[in-house]
Amino acid sequence: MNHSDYPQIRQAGENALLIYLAPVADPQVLAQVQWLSQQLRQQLGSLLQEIIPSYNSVLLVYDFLRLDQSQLELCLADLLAQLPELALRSKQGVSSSKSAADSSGKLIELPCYYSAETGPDLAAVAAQHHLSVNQLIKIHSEQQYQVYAIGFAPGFAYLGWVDERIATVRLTTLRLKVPAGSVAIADRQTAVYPAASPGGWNLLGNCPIPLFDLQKDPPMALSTGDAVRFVPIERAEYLRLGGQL
Amino acid sequence: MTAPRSGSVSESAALVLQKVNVFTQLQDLGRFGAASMGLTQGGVVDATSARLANALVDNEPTALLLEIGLGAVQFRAIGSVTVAVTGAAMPVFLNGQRYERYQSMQLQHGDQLEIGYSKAGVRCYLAVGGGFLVTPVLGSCATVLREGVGGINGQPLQSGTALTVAARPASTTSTVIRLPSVRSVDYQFQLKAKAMQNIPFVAGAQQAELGAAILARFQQNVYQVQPMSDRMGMRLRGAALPVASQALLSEGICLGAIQLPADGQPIVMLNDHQTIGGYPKIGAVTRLGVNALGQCRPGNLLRFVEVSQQQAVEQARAHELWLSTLEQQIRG
Repeated sequence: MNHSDYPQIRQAGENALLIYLAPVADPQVLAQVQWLSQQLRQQLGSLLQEIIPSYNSVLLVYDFLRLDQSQLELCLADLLAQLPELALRSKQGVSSSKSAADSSGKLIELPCYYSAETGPDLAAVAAQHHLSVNQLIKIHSEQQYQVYAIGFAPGFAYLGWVDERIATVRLTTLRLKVPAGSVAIADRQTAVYPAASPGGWNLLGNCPIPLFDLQKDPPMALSTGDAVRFVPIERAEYLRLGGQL
Repeated sequence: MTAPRSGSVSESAALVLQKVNVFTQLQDLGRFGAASMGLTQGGVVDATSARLANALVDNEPTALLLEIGLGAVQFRAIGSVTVAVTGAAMPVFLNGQRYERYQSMQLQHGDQLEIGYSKAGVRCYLAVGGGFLVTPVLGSCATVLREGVGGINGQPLQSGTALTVAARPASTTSTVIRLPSVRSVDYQFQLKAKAMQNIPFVAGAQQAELGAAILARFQQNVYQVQPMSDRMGMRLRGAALPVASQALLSEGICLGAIQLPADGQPIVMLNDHQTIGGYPKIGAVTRLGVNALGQCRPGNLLRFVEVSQQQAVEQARAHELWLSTLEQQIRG
């Protein structure tokens, strides 16, 4: 786990490469993951079938009948050589250059109605950590999260990291149906269920704004690397925004 | 995609699903560019058979067709429809009369088409001249039931549903096209019904974590396809491989990835695979290997054979050259 061994390019399949930027995931690594994904999208476009950014890595799936892997590796080496500079800029908080600004991502505020009726585990999670429900809501909503990965289901964004004081292990029994919009935590991650699905995370509330909507273009506002904050809302506001009870 | 070709159009035709099951799905070559939003690629598992079916009815390779798993499905034609069936050895009956696969057939209004259970292979492909007409979602019509995306509203096909056939120029030939025989397909690309198959794979990213010995042991093992396999993943059983206990941060998964969960029994990711995951991976089966896996049924025995990335590219190029040449010959 030596940072100096990174970044690493490894074969994932006949037409797929995995680029590990660091052995761990933190906001700085995530900024690099996002920057690299954007650069690759811009430079190689249709020669790439997929770019999947996640935590500390980027998976590239490319059209290997049209793009030679050695060319791809040259392009990657070029981009990876620019990474340390990017890290330095973001450390100093200078966002004047375009690439640094690009890599900082968007901040998206998501309304959340924290309540027993939308978050059946709210009281139990608070009790487990010897907190009042209001303290739990405060701790969950004051933290600014980052999208570390998107997967599991369309639009499901893994947000990190919740304050250690409220980190909560998954439920021992999976719920067969978690309602769409449910805001939940598991260990030090939090997420919004974009659609109704089975799930084992602890439910704290509900976000009435759809995170994933195929009728929209793009269907998803969030990308890996973006920042998210939950804004507590009252019942009336929740219903006004289209929340379901 | 499924859009009709330009020119004057004939009256709209359809295939009515009279008997259907959940293994029968509308598919195309897959949905790409949406994995960063958590959407898998979907698409036909045996892409070679699917492309031949489309070629036999003079469609583009990307046209929407039916992937029929298991078999035992029935259709009725509305209007005049050209169809072709390829892939798994499922018996084809037109109004009760047996027809061979790998040829185009002209269905008239009211004709009954029946496809029986497979004698070899798992998936057959039914293409219609013009392709099925469905609105694409994020660039593809491929059905992914787990995501509720693609096909008809992301839902399983229902008996009684009429699948509209995209109209195309009236001038388009309705001559019957047929491959001289299934054996005209190069032997290396033929659908095999062998008890033991070799599946090519490229060694992958987590060699260091899994240990050098694992690659050799994976190739020495004989694996049996398990009944729990589906379009997400093919589950295998053989001598358990040693697994390093360390958990990985979730990372992107590609088609064919060979995951090694804690029980040491590999799972090969097929077209509806999840987009990210944290299991270590031995490598990934090549696309040609995935085509072959798509026709393996529970109980079949497999052996995995490592190929270099360069060898995989050469094999893929040779296959593409053969397939595209055959497609051109079929179209005349």
